[in-house]
Amino acid sequence: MLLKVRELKVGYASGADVLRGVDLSVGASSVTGLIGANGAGKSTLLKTICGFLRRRSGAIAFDAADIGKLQPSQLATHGIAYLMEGHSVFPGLTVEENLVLGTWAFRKERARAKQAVERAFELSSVLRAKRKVKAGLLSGGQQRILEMERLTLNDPRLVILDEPSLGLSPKLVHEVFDRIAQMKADGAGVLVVDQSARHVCAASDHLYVLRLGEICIEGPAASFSDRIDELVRNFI
Amino acid sequence: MFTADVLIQLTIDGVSRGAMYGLMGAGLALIFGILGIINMAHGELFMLGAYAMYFATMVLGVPAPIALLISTALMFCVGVAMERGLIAPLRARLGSRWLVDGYVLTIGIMVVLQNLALILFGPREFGIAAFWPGRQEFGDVVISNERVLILAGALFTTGALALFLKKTNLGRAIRATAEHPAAAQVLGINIERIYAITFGIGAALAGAIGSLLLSTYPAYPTVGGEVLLKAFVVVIIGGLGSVWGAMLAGPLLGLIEAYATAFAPGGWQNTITSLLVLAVLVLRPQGLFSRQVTRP
Repeated sequence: MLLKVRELKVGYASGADVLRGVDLSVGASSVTGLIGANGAGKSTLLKTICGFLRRRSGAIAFDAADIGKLQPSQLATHGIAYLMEGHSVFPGLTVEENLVLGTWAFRKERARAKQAVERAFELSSVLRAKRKVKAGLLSGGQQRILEMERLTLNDPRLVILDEPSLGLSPKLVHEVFDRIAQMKADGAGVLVVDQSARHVCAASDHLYVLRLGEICIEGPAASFSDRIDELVRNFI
Repeated sequence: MFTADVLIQLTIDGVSRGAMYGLMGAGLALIFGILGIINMAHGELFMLGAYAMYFATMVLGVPAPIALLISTALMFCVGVAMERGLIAPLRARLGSRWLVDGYVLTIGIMVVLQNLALILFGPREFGIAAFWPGRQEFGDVVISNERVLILAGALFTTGALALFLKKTNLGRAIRATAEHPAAAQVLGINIERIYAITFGIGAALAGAIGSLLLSTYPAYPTVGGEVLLKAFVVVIIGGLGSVWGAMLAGPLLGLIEAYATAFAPGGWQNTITSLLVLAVLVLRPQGLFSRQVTRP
């Protein structure tokens, strides 16, 4: 397993745990979905894995090495990419500058960094057309495309996505999930949290449902596909 | 009456002095944009740069251009040390509640540095007449060499800072950290390092300007106060936290001061400046030059 979370407990205020012993695994070349109601602790789990929050107890292992003390700025060099909640482009920087910063972890390898940025422009006509435009002037959907492209510039082994389809048009939602499938095809392990349970279920190999800080259901996503409505009704 | 040559002289005077204010403001804006604190000790960094320049050139006899580099490099180190030694520990201990404390801390640094200078060097003014005596004549327009030097120094430094922020990896990382620190971190940018480097750059700018302006502002313990005030005016006119705004607002302030000195009775210079600040705060609080990038 690429990522292994065991018995993870996390809380903001003392005494009250938001995550009350979570177990979760993400394998390479696979998509793992995590769904749950608002306040279930989905974002908290992702933030803790990515070093923005500290665990109370439990273990987080990436490639069998403990990453519980990881700083967020070390994610990229470990090969972990993280799409945080909300917007994460740099609005005052151009599209190109945003992408160039996506190569920060290997900026000393100039040729590779340059090539990665050019490849992103080749792949996305939207970004190509807006190369010198400030990212803050892009539409919400275009910003999301920029974020997704920036995320994969350094060929991450683990991609963690927090609500990638939030606020997007149906067409763009498809594009985002196509991109997730592409990441999997490229060999990455993907952990995705999203409101759209149906999309997550369809895109995932394995599915977890988080409820009040605990995993209440898990299993191969295929086994849920015919009862996803029931799942949403009962737990989300 | 005022003839064209006087106007040209006033303009050159205003722009060169104003560009210096602009750079002081830019340093202040850079630090505010990244660390979120208003560095009340920014004038004292200017003061230390002025002392360093005086001692390097007049006591040790170092040629002025080399002395300028030494003083700038020295102030960069002072800035980094201040951030690492005083500001970073406070931030680490207080978490998100450190901003007010950080502000008060810089007031403390200001008082300590002023008094340290008083103890070490006394209240006396250490100044020089000019690094480059003499003058240039272009027809009726006479410009002192010192003015040419200051204008060239200001334009060079402004250009260098703009290029650094626009074109280098580190410059882009600094701007990215100002806009979205968490996203910058996720890309691998060590924002603690960015904090220290940014403070160092702000200090180096203040030190370089303190050095260049030694003939205008001699080194004495409280020289920073007057300069800090100008820097604040520039930052308000240009837009709080906007480095480009400050670099543009500086020359504007310099021009207003220069023309006000010539055309208005004594005392009006500061009044006009204050009125401009009030007008900007009331009518356009985001600053004259800040192009706010909004999401559609």
